Amino acid sequence: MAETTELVLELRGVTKVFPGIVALSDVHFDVRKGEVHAVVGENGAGKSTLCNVITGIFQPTRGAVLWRGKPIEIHHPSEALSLGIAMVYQERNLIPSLTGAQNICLGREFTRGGLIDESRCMSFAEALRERVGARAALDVQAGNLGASHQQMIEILRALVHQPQLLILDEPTASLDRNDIECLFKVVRRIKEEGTAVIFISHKLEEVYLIADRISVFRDGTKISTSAAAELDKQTCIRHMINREMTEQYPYVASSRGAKILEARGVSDGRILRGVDLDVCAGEVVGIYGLVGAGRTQFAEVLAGLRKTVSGTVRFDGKMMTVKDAPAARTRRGVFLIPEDRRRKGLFSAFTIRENTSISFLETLRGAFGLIRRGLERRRVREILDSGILHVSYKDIEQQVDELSGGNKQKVVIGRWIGRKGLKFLIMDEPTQGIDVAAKREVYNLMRELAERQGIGILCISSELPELLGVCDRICVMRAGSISAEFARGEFDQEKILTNAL
Amino acid sequence: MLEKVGRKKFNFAVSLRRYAVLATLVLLFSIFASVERSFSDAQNIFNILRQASVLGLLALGLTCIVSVGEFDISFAAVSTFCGVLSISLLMHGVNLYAAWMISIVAGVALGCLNGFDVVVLGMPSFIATLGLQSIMFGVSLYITAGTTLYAAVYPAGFEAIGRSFIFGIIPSPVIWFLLFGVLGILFLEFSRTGRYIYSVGGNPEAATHVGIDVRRIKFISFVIMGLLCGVAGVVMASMFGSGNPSMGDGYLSPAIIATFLGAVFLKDGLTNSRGTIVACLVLAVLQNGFVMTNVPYFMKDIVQGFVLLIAVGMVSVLKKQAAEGGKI
Repeated sequence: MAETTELVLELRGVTKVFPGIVALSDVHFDVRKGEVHAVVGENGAGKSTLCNVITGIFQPTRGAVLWRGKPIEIHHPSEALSLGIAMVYQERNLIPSLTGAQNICLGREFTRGGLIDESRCMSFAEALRERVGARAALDVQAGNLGASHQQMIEILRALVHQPQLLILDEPTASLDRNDIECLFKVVRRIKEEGTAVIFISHKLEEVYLIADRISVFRDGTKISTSAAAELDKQTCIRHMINREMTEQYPYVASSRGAKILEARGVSDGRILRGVDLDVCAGEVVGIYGLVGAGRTQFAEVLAGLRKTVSGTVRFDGKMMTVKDAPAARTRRGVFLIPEDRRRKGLFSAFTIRENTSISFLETLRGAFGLIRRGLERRRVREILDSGILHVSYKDIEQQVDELSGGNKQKVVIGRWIGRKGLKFLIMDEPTQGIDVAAKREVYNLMRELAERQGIGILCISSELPELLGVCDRICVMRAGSISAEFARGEFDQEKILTNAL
Repeated sequence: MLEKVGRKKFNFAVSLRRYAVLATLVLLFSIFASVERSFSDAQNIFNILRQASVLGLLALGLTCIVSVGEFDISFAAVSTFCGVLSISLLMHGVNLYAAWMISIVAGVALGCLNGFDVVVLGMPSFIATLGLQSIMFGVSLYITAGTTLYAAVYPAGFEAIGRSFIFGIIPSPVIWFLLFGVLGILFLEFSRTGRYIYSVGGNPEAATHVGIDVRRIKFISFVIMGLLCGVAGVVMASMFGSGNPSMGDGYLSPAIIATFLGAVFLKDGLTNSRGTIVACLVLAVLQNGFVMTNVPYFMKDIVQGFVLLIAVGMVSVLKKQAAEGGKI
């Protein structure tokens, strides 16, 4: 059944270039009728870009996409859908106020006399559910359903279009073990019907349970494609991480000062389950973990953006309470550089000047509480031009949106450098989406802040090589707690990755 | 966004976009002045400014609210209430200054109430202020019994804030407009709280990360709106010499129009005090000009609507083109 070799989809030498970044590089990839083809790789390996090219969200810069042997160009997800390519995204896309059945029929409602025929809609959804053996409540509002039911409804909704290729992006991310087994049953049924499935995941154990073939991606390149039975797990992991350690990372041991952060048993009642972590002044500590392990949540707890149900956090020996809002933490010198710069870091309507000075406006106060514009300009220029940052920009009155990703990140960092009293800096994915040269500058900056200014840095990243290069210590986070800790002398890519999976 | 620093090169599209409202003001003024000679008399110009004054006070307050990312539909009803209250207090023999003070404090308190609804209870601001609008309209009806309230004799000084002329020619409301206009520009564009207001309106999440108390900034904006409603109310009452339950109604949609029309002045779609002031002048010129040139009154509303649609529409199109032509 799965051994038919009829190709449904084929990618020939597909390259996708974004300004400053090659997201996919000369990728040859194919999917056969009735197989589950798993795509694995670390975050940023190119998995999502691959999907976005297949579903028409991105057009490839070079290379060809062949659909059942014929070259095609897909410009929009709706075109992909009409060809028979359906995708279930990692984030839920259900209308919470509609029932499961209504969600499934959304866009192709059955009508009678101009009105929606609810009972036909329900029986249609039921028939579909029985066909694939799914477990999903159809008469309950989607917003009231649990993660696994919601997931199943998304899959059913994708199946309405009778796709020949179904792409599942991290479908198990929010499911527990039982739910995963149910999901896999459905996937096997779909596959038996002849539908090809692309299964994206970074949980290797699950991949081995379901996949016929596995393709490993790394840094936008496909490393290998092999039958699941012929690729052992250790080799697979090696394919995922095997990168050359270059001169990219400027590590010089810095002198460790007093303990600046002491977190004990931090739990938020949902994702975090008792995180213990210490960071000393002058130390760069990395947190490695997969998406969903609770890294960002932990950073938010430290910054006072997320409430805890138990555990304690001390900065500089002083206990933080739940009531200490972000403002109180920044006053103590604790700053967070959030992941997702565009959404959480930048004010895109502001100029470079306004984006930089926003964190230290109180030091620029002049007569009648007005901002001293001249002083503001001088301070901002000083910070941006300083040896540590040297941001390249034309004018501080430029809109910040005109800068490249790396320079935007430097502006966000500059915000905190400009503010006196910086003691502890939390950086969540600090090099996400910036080019290699800029990454190197960010690493230099981190080391300099730690070594010269004795600042404690907590760096969260899903790029292991970056942590290996820049950190004094790496803590691995898995399922809401620290699963292992490695001092610089003990760094071992495989061990670290194994503890994260 | 394509807001290049235009020091080196003159960019016609950008200038057109940024000064469209000012150009409209000049254009309308010239048209009316050429049709009716007395339109450009000093006295009529002050008349126009006077007509822009109460509108300006309210629109400046609304500019703060919209800049922080919220909305207030209650301001006209609140300022009506404050005006009616001041007249009613005077009729009951309350001291002039006490009456003014009480009315303005009432406006501030109602602003606090809106702020409480939005910030503490988490209500959508449109709905919270819609509720208050209805309540305050009803209360004003109750106070006035549905008619126009006026005292036979007002205490000396009553006319000072709304009906008198400074140096014999500048109507006193214009002074308020000028004062709060300058304060508004300084506050929103040059003060820390003003910067925080824009940052909260632009990206509340990033503002939280920077350590800005988003709730406090929103609350402050509602309080400022309340204060300006109070001031506008007492000025209105003094200007009319009376109070009636619909005295502020006529300012509701012009103030909203002025705020959003002003957002295309200088900045690309960011509400700002300077823009609001210029937009209020545009609306006042329209209102005054149509009366002076004997054009039917309804034309003012029609043209006012078109000016908003054309100005904002043009900026939207130019912005879209810039975004598509520029980076990916």
